[in-house]
Amino acid sequence: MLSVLRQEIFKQLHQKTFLVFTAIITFSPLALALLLSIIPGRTILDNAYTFTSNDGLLSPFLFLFMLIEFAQIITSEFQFDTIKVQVAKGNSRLAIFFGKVTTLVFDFIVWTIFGTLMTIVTSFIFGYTKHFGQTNHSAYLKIPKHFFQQIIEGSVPNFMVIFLIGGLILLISTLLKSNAIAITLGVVSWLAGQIINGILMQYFYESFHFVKYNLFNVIVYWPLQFFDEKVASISRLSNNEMIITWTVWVVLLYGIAVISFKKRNL
Amino acid sequence: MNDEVLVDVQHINKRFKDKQVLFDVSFQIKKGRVVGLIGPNGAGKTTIMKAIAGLSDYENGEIQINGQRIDKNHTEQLKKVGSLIETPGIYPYMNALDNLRLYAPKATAAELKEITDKTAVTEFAKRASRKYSLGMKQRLGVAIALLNNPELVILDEPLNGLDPQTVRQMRDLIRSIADSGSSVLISSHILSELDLVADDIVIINKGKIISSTTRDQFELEAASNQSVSFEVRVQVGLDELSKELSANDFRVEKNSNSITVFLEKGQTINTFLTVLNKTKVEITYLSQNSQTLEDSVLDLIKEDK
Repeated sequence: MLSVLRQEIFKQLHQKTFLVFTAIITFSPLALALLLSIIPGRTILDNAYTFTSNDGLLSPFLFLFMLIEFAQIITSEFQFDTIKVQVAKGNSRLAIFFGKVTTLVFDFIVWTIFGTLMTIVTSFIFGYTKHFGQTNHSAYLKIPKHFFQQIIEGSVPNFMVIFLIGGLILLISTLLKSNAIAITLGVVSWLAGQIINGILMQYFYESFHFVKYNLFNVIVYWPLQFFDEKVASISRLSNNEMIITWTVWVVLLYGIAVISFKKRNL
Repeated sequence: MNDEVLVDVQHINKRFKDKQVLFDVSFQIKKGRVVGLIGPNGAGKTTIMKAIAGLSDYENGEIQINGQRIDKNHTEQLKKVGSLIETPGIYPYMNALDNLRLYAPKATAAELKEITDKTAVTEFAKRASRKYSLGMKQRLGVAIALLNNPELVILDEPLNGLDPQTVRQMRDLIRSIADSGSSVLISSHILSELDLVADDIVIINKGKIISSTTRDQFELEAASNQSVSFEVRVQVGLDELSKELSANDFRVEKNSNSITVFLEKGQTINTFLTVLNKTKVEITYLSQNSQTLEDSVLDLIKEDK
């Protein structure tokens, strides 16, 4: 397992996409702040509000790049035919699979740390911290008083949601050979999932309460509900139910993905 | 010759959905031997190699390496196997050296250099592998297979895309692997190359092993089972010679300025030479049309049909 993990990290560090993604996540808070500062007519308060309400651009990029990583981490091995070499070198398929999942956790941690640190540093550099807790009157919304704490705590639901949708993508990718198709299917299933969840909860919940346990309900509402329990009235799941539903789906998706990966003839 | 068995393939079958592709396949690979796996396209060569490399499963029977089972769930012995099956597995975003370092983190620079020299990879070792030609990829694939001193090297069509000079280099390399005590299982459609390198021959046709023996034994058997032919050229008296040989029950094919004489089972070279002497025709050229490995294999496959 350790040798598989070492190989995975070695590959990550040699991939330009990983390095480019890391650079984008690291420097996007700074880029956003610079961009906001050159738009005429905006006050620092306005900028602080825009910056904090977008998490310094960490969350959207993290989500996008993680989806791409999930989609390509297995399919690329099939695409380059390197999976044969890995297996024929005596690595068990189970070890290869969990080596890849561990690498994805590594990616998430690295990007979260880099992005968070840069968001904090940028907030200080551009003077946003002075406005934490103040209300932006043009938007009638308050900048979180504890923005740094919020962004750090937010990595927990981010992790849960990304690894849930990631499980679905990983499952799809064990059946495919092209990472482009896996990425497309992953993004499409995430977008379609939001629509499917809307339809299920709006039209079917009254008759079939169990539809609230669909995975897209967790994906759509858990990041919001994590900070605001009132969202439970929309998701129809308590926080505990959310966590249990998440766990069941993760075990199910990753379990099927492992079986599919182990069974696949190379 | 080392008689110790490294790989034992025992009565394996394989089915793809409704189609059975391997039928009761059994053969052995002994230590320090180069085994040529020969057969027409679709005969099951790659399927066998994949099963030995733990890449695909099989039904019934068993494959053992060093006495331990190999399949998709029993992979421990594969740590001693290096393989190049179908296309070479290479990460295009890394150069050749990094592709090698990935699987051999403890290898020293000198060890890697030795492998890249042997496989003629050194000259492009630091170039990004996405720009490699088929032949360069093939050489890197072989280099990856040779990492960590494997006891068994499986090479599926390793000569594809190689120029004649590299083919010769690869042939010497394969020979040196076997000489160092490791075994090689190799398939190639270039039978003349296998003829030069293989110690043992396994012939497969339509998923069945039709011959599994040493190359020497195979040649002996092939020679005793098949007719031998001679080409005879003369300045004058070709008709007379042809008639005389036919009268002595030799099958003769007449060409423009030569005849080909076929010795069937039971006809000896001595009788043939006696008839030649008797005619008093002056022979200007006499040669035996030797049977190549390719001829023997093709005859055997034809017989199997």
